[in-house]
Amino acid sequence: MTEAEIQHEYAILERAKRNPKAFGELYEKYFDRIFNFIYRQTDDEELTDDLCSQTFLSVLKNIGRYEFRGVPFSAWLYKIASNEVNKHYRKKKNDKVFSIEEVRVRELFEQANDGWDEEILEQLLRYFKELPTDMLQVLELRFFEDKDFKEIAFILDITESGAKMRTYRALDRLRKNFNIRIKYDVKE
Amino acid sequence: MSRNEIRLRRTISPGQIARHRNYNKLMARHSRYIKMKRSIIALVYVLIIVLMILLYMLVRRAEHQKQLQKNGKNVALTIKHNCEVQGEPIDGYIYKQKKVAK
Repeated sequence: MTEAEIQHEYAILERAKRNPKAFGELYEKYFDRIFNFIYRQTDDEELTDDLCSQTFLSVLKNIGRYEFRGVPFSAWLYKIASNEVNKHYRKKKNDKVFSIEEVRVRELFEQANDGWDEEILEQLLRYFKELPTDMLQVLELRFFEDKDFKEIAFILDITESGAKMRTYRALDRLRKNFNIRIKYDVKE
Repeated sequence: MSRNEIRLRRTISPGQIARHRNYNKLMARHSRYIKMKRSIIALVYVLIIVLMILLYMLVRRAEHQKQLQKNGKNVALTIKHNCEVQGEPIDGYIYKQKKVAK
């Protein structure tokens, strides 16, 4: 995200503090991303709809308190969405669901066609199932939402080095167990 | 052991997501919230004012009673003093009342 885009969003937010209708532009811009982010953690369209609108409502309620902290506005949005999802699971006491798009999983790995079969996919799912929730959250934000470590740290309320450590630990285990190369390995 | 359930699914289409996007609905919810918030604030102010009026009335009443008690004592003492001067019997509330009437 460029500096100009961040400034533009900030200007919209300042307007939205006085008139909530001005928030519409940001709502349109981020709705799909937030919906996907929540849907990946619920796998239920109606529930996602509820949590998504709750997220945007919380944003509107607290917009007066928003202040720029070196990360784009979207990070704040993801943080609120993440909190809403966590709140839901705490209330329901259900197992947390991570529904991953098959296409995205295949995109993640630089695997030649000959070595990529259903068996590896199943092993990967088993591997993901064994991962702790905090590692899964980091992987999700890193590889499915393309967030940098600074944003991940802000969203999950951890340190930047903590976010890096969790990601690399999960990736190391992936490489060891599956002997496969992962895209974005060199991405910083 | 983690308690996560991992599922594979197809990508949700933008059309499917668009069905859930409704800014007007969000604005309506927000307006309701603002109205409710204002009502609660108004109610709290009214409660505070009522409480303050009640407190004021209680204090006034307590002061009034205190004043009454004080006045009653003063009258009694005065009468007692008069009685002694005139050499009349001292005891009895009715007697004191008569003196006050004079």
